[in-house]
Amino acid sequence: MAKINLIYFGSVMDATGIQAETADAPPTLDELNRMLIARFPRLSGLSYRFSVNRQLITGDKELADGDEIALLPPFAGG
Amino acid sequence: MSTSIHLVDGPIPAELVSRKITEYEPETSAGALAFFIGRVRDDRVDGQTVAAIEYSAYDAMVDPVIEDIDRQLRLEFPDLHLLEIIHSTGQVRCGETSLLVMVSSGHRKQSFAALEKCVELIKEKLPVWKKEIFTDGSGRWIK
Repeated sequence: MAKINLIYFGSVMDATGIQAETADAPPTLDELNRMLIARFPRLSGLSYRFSVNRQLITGDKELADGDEIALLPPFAGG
Repeated sequence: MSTSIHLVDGPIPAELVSRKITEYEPETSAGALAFFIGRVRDDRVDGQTVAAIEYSAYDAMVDPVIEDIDRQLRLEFPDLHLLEIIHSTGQVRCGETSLLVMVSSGHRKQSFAALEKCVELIKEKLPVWKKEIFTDGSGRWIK
């Protein structure tokens, strides 16, 4: 089974209660999002984007073994 | 020409500004150095007062984002020489510095303009998050 590395930041980390984990990879990012919301219902009230291997993703994307996927709330640097 | 970003734990010391000015003296073709210093402000939110901000960053994504910002700035400001960004992670108290941006260019106009654009791009693109810590110890993520 392919594995992915998940990283949670900011308000998303508060909603999941964990900073990072390794998980079995679903086929796509959309499917991953559905699984995460089912597991962490507080995510559904939050705004966030995904990055895959440190690239921001818009829309869906197929996932591969070893991908690093981060859930990124709106940036607030400065 | 060079570009760099450093994440530092805690507030950025004021002495760093003078050190940067000294470090850059050998670059004699740059006639202008411009600095932006971002500080933590004691905002009042719903009757609470901000005491500090806790910063966190996606370290591994910072470098590619800065490369992208650098590319964009150099296209728009061809006179830009140096671009250096220092951003805090961890806790920074009100009045302390959390962001230092330094740009240099041959002449002053592009330093001013590039500095402002750079700060806007940092706010838009840099994967950094901040949590307001109130005087009673409670916290709230800034969206």
